[in-house]
Amino acid sequence: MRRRLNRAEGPPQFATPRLGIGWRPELARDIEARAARGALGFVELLAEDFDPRDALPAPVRELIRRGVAAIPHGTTLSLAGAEPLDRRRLDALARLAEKTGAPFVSEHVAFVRGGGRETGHLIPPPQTREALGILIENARAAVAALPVPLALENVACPLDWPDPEMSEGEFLRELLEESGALLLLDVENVYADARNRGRDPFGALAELPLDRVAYVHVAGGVERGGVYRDTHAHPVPREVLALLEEAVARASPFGAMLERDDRFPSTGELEAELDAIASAMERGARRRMTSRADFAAPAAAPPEAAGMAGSDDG
Amino acid sequence: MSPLTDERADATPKATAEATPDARARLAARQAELVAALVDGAPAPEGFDEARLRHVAESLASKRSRSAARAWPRLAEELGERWRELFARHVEPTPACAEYAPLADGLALARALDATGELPRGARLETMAVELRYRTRTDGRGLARRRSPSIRAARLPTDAEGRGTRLVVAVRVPPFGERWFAAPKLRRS
Repeated sequence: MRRRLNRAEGPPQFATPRLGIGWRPELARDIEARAARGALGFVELLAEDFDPRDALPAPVRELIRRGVAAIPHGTTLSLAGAEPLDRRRLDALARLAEKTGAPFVSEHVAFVRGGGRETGHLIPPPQTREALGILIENARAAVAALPVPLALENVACPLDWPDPEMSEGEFLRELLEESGALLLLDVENVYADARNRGRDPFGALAELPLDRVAYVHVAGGVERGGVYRDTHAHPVPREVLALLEEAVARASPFGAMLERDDRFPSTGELEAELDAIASAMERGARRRMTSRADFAAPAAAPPEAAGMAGSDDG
Repeated sequence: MSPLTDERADATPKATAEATPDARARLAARQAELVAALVDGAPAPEGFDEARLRHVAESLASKRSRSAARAWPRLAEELGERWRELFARHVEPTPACAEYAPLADGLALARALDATGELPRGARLETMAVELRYRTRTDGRGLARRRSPSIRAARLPTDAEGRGTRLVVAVRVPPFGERWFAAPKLRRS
């Protein structure tokens, strides 16, 4: 019987968030160097680039040997699609998760095909009860078929479906609670969507089900033609790092990672980006600990003090 | 029409709609309409912002071209600035393939250039490697890793100027791997 995330158990809590990066062949050398000095906690693997029947590439095996966690990240399940899930894709994800000893597998709250056409793009579903019902059914099937917890990523898209029946936060919360999936929080997508709709990104972040965050994506983008797009090819904006800090202060993620897919930076720039993410996480974790310590003070007090508190109550 | 069997013993009362076949058919129609607008240039479905939709369609096309360039580093390097224009001209504008799409898109470009004699010499080895390892899927949707032995041979230039050629033979036997052999330089061609 495969392990299934127990809804009652709730998402796992991680005290010290790990630093990660999306593994790309172009960055393999820099990633290996960083891992060698113990400054990297996890990598994310683009699942469709790895055939589970083949051996993992040597650099990835080396990272896993060093204790760097690997998380398969799928882009083609089309969980929010109208058609039933493709068993073959799901099996491939499950096998890759087993092969890499992954703590999670992740996918998107999106569909990628329709009318028999592939878009190569992650398109969010309409925020309707009907679309949510189908998405929940698909996500449950995926959760049941995977050997480790499934985290679903909020996607960014400047397109809005007409007549939404619920907010993004409500939609995501119900999806995750009903399917047993966790949240892969992409703070760059939160930033992009808020900016394109003239909303406050911190307000948008607060509405998301942060109690279910598994891990966090961080990336850069650029504004073109009045629309901000997450390109994964530009430096991470300061606002996105602030959102990361806020997210870590409110949630207890496994870690946060940089997504860089294009215009690959020099080793120095990459190191600086990763260090900035690590610092933002540290600030967030410190804020979380401080606020927890305030609440937790009575419980952490010595027995005498606890007894005194007890007598006060009586 | 349940997507996959799933134990639903713990199913809670749902506020959401049941995923009935009718519901799936309605969603399929709405999604197909949006996809057609994004990849085929069909008119925007009712209620969508036309300008935003065109913006997404453009970024989608450019993302596809960049992904293919990354999957074909040698060909991209050889074509340089011309990649964008050649890709737009030779590769079918609607992404119909699913598997290894960037690799398949690049292969479509390499084959189109080869047919007109425009395939850069520097990209021949890369093309040969892709054809050795992948086959076109029988349903036409992209590529599949070859699971049976394959062999490729080509006469490739010995240097950048292409002054001489040599025969290169590659043999691949899954799951054992592949071997490449190069015959000694032949003659000036």
